[in-house]
Amino acid sequence: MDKIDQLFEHLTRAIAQRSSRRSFLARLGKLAVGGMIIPLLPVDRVTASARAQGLPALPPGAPVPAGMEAMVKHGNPDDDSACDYWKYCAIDGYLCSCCGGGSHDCPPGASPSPTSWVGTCRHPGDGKDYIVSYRDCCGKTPCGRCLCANTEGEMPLYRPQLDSDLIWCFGAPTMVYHCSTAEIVGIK
Amino acid sequence: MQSRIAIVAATLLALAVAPYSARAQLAPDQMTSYKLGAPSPHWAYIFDSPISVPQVSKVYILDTDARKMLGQLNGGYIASFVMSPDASELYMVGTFYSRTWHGTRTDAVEIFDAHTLGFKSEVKIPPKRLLIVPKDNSAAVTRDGRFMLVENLTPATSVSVVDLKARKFVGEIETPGCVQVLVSGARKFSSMCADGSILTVNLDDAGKLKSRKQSKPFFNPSKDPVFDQPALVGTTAYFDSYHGMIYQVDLSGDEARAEPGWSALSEDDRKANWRPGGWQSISASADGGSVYLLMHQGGEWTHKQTGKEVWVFDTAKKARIARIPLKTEAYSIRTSSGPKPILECLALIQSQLETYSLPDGKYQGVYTNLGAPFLIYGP
Repeated sequence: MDKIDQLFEHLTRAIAQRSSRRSFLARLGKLAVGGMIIPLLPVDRVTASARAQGLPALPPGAPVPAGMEAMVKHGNPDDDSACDYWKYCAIDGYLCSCCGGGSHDCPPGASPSPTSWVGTCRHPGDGKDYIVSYRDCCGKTPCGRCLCANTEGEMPLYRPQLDSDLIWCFGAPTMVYHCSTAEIVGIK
Repeated sequence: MQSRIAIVAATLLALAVAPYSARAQLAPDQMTSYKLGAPSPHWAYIFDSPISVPQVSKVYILDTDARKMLGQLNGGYIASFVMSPDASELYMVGTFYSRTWHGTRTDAVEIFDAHTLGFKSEVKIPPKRLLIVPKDNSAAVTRDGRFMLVENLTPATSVSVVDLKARKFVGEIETPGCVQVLVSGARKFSSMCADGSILTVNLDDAGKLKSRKQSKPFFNPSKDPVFDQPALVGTTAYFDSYHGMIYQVDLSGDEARAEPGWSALSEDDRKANWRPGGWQSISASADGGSVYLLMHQGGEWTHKQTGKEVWVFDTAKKARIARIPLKTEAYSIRTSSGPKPILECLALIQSQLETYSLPDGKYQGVYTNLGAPFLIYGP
């Protein structure tokens, strides 16, 4: 098995621990009838981004090689309302923590989207690399506070699973974007 | 006696003053609505997606010669703006929720008169159009003005077809793995695909699928992706890439045909970290002889950085012929058509449009208060 496959399998297991996401993927499969389904499995973003950078994908537990820092950043450990907060290494949008929510919680009345894009961020305290799912909160107009646009690994629309300009509210009650969160889904 | 004299005097005075009063008084205003004439090549259509409330999109129509606002068009949630080829109609393809930000979703092609800017009618389409920070080519009209083509992403990808003559939705055409609508004929459009290829679709006269053919990949998206908002001139699309390659793709045939790409950067440019970027980062002259790139200095993954210069390339010689330093760093650029083309540069954060004459790149002036201007269109 090549290294990319190893990484993919590892990340898939981490994601698969979350039954709600799994059930969403099943629902998503139904949505694809009659059209082409774009791979939405969030881990694909990590693998494809590694490929996009022309870098080897990381086998589980391997040290981060030189040049891969764009995907694995050392960030601010304390302030979750700052763009350089460690979990926000690939976030694009208004921070929910500035909008009445938290770094991984929606503000009151907004709905977490079941779909997301994903990054890998290193916690500056324990030095471990965490898989972070960037889930939008939907159902209210844009919060308009703390706009962060981290573009590492971001791809054009013909690779939509890697495009953070899309309104990532697929599967939410409405496609009205409010703010963005960063949720730890596992350790790499 | 005195009182009679006083009355006569007052009457004479009144008679004498009355005509002067009438002459001094301004005539009552007659209120109308202005109409627009035929568009000039120097009119700029600026798409504003209000950042905090994108539920209402706006297009400002500016006369860049007179530096004057001519009018405004409205649309729904992150709408797509399209002009008819004969300049008689304008379109806003939008998404609407029944309670503005919640409720039942409706997507529609809204049709406006290009002279009165008044609403004419609408055609409802399936509520699945692409919703994204506004991008060019998310909707487009066939060259004969007959069919409106609207990109869908649910995330399954397809194109909705609307017959503008019959004012009705015709159907959907699946574009598996490919996105956006690059129109290159009366019954032809192309889409960009995930593997670096181009899908070309031919329609029949009813707006239904006639044929569909995918080209070979012409670039490697994993190594050096092209931007997804190419400049389209006639049947040729000009693409720029994250690392400064330029690709010319002929969309006239049943299968897209790309010429080998060439680099916009010299070795010195590369060392100085120059690369294209921003939002609308490429434009081409009306004859396709020149390509304009919005350039910045930055490292990897700075593809959305604002540009401080516009570089001009001769497409035949594949060589740079000019560098135009910008007064204000721009996020989107466009070159106008017409005998005296100008360079239009949008600054998103500063909410303004600056123009430069071509080919000398002389600064002409600025127009401010344009909301959150992402895109520039023109006749």
